[in-house]
Amino acid sequence: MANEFMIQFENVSKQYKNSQNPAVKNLSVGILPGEFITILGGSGSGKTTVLKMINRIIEPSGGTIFFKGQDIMTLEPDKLRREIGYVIQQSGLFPHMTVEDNIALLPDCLKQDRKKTRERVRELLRLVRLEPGQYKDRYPRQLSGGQQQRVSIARALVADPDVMLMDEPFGAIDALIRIELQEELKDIHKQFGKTILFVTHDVHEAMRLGTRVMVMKEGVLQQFDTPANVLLNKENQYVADIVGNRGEIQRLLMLNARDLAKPYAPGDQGPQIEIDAEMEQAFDLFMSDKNVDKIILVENAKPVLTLSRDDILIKR
Amino acid sequence: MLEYIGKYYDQIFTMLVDHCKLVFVSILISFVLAFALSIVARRFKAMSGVLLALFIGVYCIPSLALFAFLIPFFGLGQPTAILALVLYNQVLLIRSILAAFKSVPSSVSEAAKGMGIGFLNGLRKVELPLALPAILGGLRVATISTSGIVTVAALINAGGLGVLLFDGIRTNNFDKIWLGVILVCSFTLLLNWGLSVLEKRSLRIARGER
Ligand SMILES: Nc1ncnc2c1ncn2[C@@H]1O[C@H](COP(=O)(O)OP(=O)(O)O)[C@@H](O)[C@H]1O
Ligand SMILES: [Mg+2]
Repeated sequence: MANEFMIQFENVSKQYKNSQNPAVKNLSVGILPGEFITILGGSGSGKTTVLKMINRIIEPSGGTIFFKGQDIMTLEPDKLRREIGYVIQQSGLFPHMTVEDNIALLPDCLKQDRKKTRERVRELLRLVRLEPGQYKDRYPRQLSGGQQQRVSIARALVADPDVMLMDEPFGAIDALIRIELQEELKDIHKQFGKTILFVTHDVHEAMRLGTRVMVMKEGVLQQFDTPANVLLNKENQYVADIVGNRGEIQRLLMLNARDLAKPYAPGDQGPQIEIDAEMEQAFDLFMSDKNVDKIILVENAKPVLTLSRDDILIKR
Repeated sequence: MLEYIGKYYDQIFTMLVDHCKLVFVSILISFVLAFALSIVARRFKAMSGVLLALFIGVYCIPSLALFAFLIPFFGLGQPTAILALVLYNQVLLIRSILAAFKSVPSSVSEAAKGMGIGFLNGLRKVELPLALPAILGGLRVATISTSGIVTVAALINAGGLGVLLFDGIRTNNFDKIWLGVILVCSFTLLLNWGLSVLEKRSLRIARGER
């Protein structure tokens, strides 16, 4: 039963020593392979703790976590960690190693073929849009914050892990570059079907990236649902608060077009946009042409979803 | 003084060699022991307090008294001197090694741990290179202090440049005392310089400025 999940929490709690309240309380969630889970919550709400319990940087004080159906406490920690890429806010790049050596450290420690590893490094650098020839011999201090995070992502991908844990990876990056990195991460997710758990305190980021969003407060899971449901059917006051004093339209605009779309039915007609387009783009189309009733979301030029004007309640 | 050097240069040379030997051997043993204890203390956090308290206690014992305690077991001579120096060095070295590892940014050691390269690889390839400048700084202080204290070891027949000093004091021969002081100081300064070169180089490596 547990086996369909990539990661499953069963009644997991974490009580730190010398701390009054538990950092995580009775968390029970299942995460399916290929999901992009964003974990949203204020500072101190237990987001980082949830993440670090998965790769056993922190041991839970109660409950069980399953990785591909196996209790992680029965697995060898280093073996488990090699199947889980880990990216943190301060990049955690090794300042005394070049970009290439940073990315290659794990395969080098495992004594894998060096030539293959070097080739893999080049491939990964290209994936995160850094020209290998230009960047592989640089040291971290010779990179901008955004470039450091790109390298950090490449490094986490080196062993081709099924799961990526990302703890506010773009938290210290300025807005324009952050959007660029978010787009690239979405592409990587789509291309490789990794299961991603991504911590953020930025509502917009959580909605943009997540296929489902976990909203946390004081160690308690408040809501675990699609961005559309979190934004539009706020289950409790806290979710409403964190989503902010935004009007309906502003909240809508935080979504992706697909979040409110329905499966494409033959016969649906309308202008086409890419499957991962933002709601803003769909909104503009509806607003600029009163006759548009439906928008077709296409993937590789094939219609997949249909977004109706009624779905986003725009009056003519 | 020159006359004295001319006459006894082979004896002085022996004293210098003994001095070097005592310093090198005791620093080497001190460092290996302190490093091993520090690694243990890092894995078992409760150990570090116990170890430091213990060696601070040792450090408080005056050197003559410490020699007196050790002589019944190890006799007069170099082994006792080296043992005493090793004991003295522990608190300086363990403290600085622990502080050096603490100075490695937690994001960096956590990233290494999260990769699954294992404790030893993490230590060798990530934490040690970054902690090295501060470790060498501590080693430098311990070395300077050892080179000074080692002169007292002449009292228990361990030889070294201390012999010159004590002879000079006993016979009221200031040439000997000055010669002893000049040799000890030059030797110590040389070590200090050598280690600070290493320290600076390791700092450049740790910062990625090779
Ligand atoms: N190592 C620790 N020791 C004690 N308390 C901790 C430790 N790490 C985190 N906490 C506490 O646990 C709670 C959750 O922290 P954290 O998971 O880091 O939250 P977030 O990532 O959402 O900011 C906070 O109240 C924090 O103070
Ligand atoms: Mg956090």
